Amino acid sequence: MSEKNEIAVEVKGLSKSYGPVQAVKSIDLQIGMGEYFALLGPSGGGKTTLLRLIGGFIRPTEGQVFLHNQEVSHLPPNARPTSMVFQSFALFPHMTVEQNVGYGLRLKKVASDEIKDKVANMLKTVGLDGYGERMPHELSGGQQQRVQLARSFVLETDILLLDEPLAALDANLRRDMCIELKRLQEKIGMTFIHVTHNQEEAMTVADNMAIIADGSLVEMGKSSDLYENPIRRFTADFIGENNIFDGQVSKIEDDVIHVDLGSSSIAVLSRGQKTSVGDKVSISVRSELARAIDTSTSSTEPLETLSGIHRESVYLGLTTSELITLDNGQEVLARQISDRYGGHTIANGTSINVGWRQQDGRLHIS
Amino acid sequence: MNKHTYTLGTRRGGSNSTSPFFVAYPRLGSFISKWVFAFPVIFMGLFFALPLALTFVWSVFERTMFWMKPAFTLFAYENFFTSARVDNFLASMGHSSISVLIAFIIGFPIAVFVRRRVPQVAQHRVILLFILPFAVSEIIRIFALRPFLQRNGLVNDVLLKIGVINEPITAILFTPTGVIIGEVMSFLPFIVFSGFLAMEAVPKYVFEICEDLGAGPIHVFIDVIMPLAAPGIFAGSLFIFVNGLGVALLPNILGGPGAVNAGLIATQAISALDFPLAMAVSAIMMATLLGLLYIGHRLFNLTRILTPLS
Repeated sequence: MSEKNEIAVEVKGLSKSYGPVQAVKSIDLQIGMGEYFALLGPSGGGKTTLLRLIGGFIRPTEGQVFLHNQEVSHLPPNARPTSMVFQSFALFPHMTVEQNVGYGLRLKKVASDEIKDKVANMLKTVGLDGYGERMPHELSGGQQQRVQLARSFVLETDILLLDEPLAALDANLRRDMCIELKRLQEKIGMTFIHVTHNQEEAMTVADNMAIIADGSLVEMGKSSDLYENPIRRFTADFIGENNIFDGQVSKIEDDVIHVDLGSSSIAVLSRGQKTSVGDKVSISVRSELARAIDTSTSSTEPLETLSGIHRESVYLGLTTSELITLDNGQEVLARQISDRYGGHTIANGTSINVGWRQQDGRLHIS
Repeated sequence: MNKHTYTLGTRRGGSNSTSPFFVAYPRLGSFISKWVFAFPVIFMGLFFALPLALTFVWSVFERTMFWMKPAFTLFAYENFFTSARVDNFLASMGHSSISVLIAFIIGFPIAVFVRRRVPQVAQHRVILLFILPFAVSEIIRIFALRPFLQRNGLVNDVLLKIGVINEPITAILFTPTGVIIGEVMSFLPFIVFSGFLAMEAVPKYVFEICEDLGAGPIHVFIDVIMPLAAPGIFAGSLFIFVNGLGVALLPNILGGPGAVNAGLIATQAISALDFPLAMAVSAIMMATLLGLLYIGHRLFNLTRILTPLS
């Protein structure tokens, strides 16, 4: 929410190895000041390791970490302008909420009156006014995470690292806390780096995000870009519900690439990517942009289509998914808003086409 | 409840492929499953709690030539509190306290180290190493200290040879110091065990919070480890303290005139056929233990020892 041109966090060629295992492989990353940044990726992909490298809990094998343009690779966590919110309800179980929040200030030898004021203010900010005397075990999971937030905020560091902060909460609470986190971040103006394996959570909170998998940075960008225009095949596979077709480039006409999928050919826009005939590429189509089309009806607009057999309709409330098996055996999902009034149902086992507009297909060369 | 035990019994009896015994006696199976947990309670009640309670009763009996007869007299207590025995008792409490302190200073960091730095899979094996000394008889273990600590023993020899001292140190055997050395050596494993268990109550993440907030090792120890591990530490310390008071073997082998503990006083009273006095000493020791347990429980809620943090 502040000027985006200043860089809060920069990592250069950062690697971390545990014996022969490379947990983080030469990652380069920049995060702007006041940004809400998410590190999204499958479990065990190295995103937590990356966060801990930034926080100073582990030392890099190679590469550097810069916070506010200062190299901090050699500094311990408390000497960095970062503070951490941990995964499980990490509070001192023997201290009250007030003591938990104020402990960091106590270590900094802040006067006790001042601590009391600051803690009270911070508890108000995170919505725990009047909870100061409670013990952690008397709080709900969401409240405990708020205490962790207050503990970090009160130190007035300006980069907050959140390591799967909502993983232990149930789905409803997680959704509420996401919005709450976003609101707090905007209010306080800190840089947030939020690690999660839950794409919905990442989408809700983050301005920008990076996909981390297998120790490497796969793709980075605005949350909406990663959803709508993923460059890498992995991103399309990981974010949203995408149908992915693998094939070979058969023909190139300006920025329209024809891809041979074996039994049929599909045209897709290159989006500026350079390919040549014979390259192995992939095409992804979001399930909500793919449509199941009756073979008897003729389409009003030109669509890229593949033929298959309708397997079943899965009613999901807001949306209904049609599961279609293509002639080559691949399964495809087409999803649309459920239509209570006059929605026609397709009988299982009927021949059907699945189609999408050419511009809704996305080419991936890696 | 009844139905449950019944099905348990018949299920055992019914599994005819495995236990033909219970097929022949299905009601026996039911009986065993019902009472199997009661046996230890009955056993402990009969052979532990009851004799201990009787100690208090016997301590007020009247001494006879070779045994004692029912009566109510506080003569044994008077005998204890008006003689040098009470001084010895109090002195041995002091020595025990010192042993507890030394054992804690040496042993607890070992427990913390094992919990924090040894890989999870190896932790129990490392702790197991501390059980090894118990494979040797306690008498041998303690007696082995004598040639080590005595006037011309190994310690003195080495110190003389390297010129640290000019004449042998005699203060380390047949003195309270000798007893304290023996107590620390004998009971150190217990503080390691209890410390190891106590550290279970200290979740791993608290160390990360401390690291994040910049708490140094002393702060971590005083502000976090101590309060969380207190019940376990107290239990281990109490165990050492009580054994320091009660185990007669240590002052018997390593002690001298000024190093007599409650256990040795009682043993000597038994040798002198003064059974009420021996009972009185035991009763006083037990009262001390119960008092300390009560204080500890009020302070730390000792039931927390066995409940890992949820």
